[in-house]
Amino acid sequence: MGRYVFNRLLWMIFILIGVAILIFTILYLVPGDVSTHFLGESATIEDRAAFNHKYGLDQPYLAQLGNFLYSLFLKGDFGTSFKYNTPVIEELLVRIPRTLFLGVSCIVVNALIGIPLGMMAALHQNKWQDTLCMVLALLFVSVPNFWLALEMVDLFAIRLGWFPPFGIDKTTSWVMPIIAGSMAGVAANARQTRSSMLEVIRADFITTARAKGVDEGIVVRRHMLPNALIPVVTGLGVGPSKSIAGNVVIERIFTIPGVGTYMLSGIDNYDYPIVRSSVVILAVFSSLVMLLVDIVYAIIDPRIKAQYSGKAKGK
Amino acid sequence: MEHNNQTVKRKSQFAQVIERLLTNKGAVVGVSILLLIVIISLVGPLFCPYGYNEMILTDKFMAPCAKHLLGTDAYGRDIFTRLIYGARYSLLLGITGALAGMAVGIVLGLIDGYLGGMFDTVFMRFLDIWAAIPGQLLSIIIATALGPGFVNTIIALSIGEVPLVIRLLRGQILSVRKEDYLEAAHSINASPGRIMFKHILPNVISPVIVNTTMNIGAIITSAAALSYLGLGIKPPNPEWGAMLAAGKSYVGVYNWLVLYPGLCIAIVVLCVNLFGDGLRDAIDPKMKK
Repeated sequence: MGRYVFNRLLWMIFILIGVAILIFTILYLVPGDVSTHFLGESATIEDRAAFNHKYGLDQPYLAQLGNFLYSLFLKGDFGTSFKYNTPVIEELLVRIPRTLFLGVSCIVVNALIGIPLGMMAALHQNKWQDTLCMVLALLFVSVPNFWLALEMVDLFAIRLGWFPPFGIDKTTSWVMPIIAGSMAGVAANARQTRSSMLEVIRADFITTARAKGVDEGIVVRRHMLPNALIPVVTGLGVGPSKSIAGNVVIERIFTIPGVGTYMLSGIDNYDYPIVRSSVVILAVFSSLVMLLVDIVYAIIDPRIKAQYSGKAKGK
Repeated sequence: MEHNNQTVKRKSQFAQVIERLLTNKGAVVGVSILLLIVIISLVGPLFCPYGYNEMILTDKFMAPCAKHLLGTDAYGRDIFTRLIYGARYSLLLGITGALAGMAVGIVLGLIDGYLGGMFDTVFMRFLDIWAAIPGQLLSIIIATALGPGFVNTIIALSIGEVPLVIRLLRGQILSVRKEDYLEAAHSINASPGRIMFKHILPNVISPVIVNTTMNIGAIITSAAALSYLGLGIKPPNPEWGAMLAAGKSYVGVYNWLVLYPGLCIAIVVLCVNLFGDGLRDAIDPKMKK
């Protein structure tokens, strides 16, 4: 197990270097001169040259890339913002916890609401509970979360005044962003739980358990759930990376000063060091969450665990 | 099975899917509403008394009324008219975005599955990197790099889809690789292109089609989100997401500016999803139980 985690972590580093190269290259190819944007059309050629020289923009692509990778991965230097002239890392460190908090809360809500919904649907297959849950799930996937966010601001913040419409000043500020951010995930989890529950519900071991006279509650909790939840955990693996990184629009709507809004401000201001670093950070989180999910998956599924602990036994 | 039955059965495969699809109430409702929306978006402009960009400055911020069915925006433009024109953007972006992603994914996936070996190993590692950037984030970055515009938005939207299609296809191809009909095709010296597109593709395509259909809804939402952020279709074009962005400052005051465009997105996405779910059940009836 330890070796598995180690290998995955090692591989993750390569992936992140790849991500950094990819993002750097995409942003490098953006047409237009960055200095024009910051210094204005009227800036003299000398001023522009000085600006480009200061940030190393006058160097060839490979030199810039090398420089970027070297300072990012070996020195932990995320670069300096063109606009604010401050190190990006300082701002990121303040913002990361907020984005993480939002993302992790969404994951928790996804699981806490989605899984019971799916279970209820499966246990009452083809009855009204099933229909209700699946209609809810369909609505949740279909309604765009940023529109829901705006409507929630309209109703709960402005008309009813229950929650602040933006910012993170109060604890209640987080309620609406978390609801908006977790809708799609709730739906996905409910659907996945339902279909994997339905797969085990008619399994022979369930019939056996019932035939032995095991209490129905125990059948559901001890016999069905652990088997049904394995694919749900895999599904959770796709959800979190979306939750951590996909809340960019939600962050903007509620003006949560997280990594997402930072990235968007970088985009608006042509401040590419900010964009690059934010994307790399978000990719780190989503990779870490995926890894975490894979580890949990390996722990709860004995078949996977056997593959890694008993090396090359069967294969 | 008797020989003469076989041609009959093969003919009806597609018909069977359609037949099953037609028995699915949700899918039928979804498709009907979508068709209605398509017709309205094509024919509607003929009947609209206003242009989508026609500013009537005396009618600013009018609430929904007889003159302006769904009200007007900050420039006195008729929301209803703009929504009708906007339907084209959402539907076209969603469908072409999904198809473009599918097409690129199919070509790359087939090449990868056909070549296998070293190419596959390297390509899969590259794909890991590609997929490590969450789709929406990648779309935002690509849209930033390419700038706003219709074609650019399609590219940005489809790029996140590609790794998924490739993975799906690769798994399918691996499962048919050793099939006799491929060996037969090789033995009669069929060209790689012919083998890939004529022999492998028809046998592996259905999960990809299902997946693509089910993704159209998500792509429409992402398109609206990109436009909302100002990276997709730019105002004054009446894209629904862009309309949301324009109306967001008036939330709580002139709420029709946000309510109706969002409702339109939700309805279209809902219908597409209903159709997608129906299609999945029709193509793969096992999954329904």
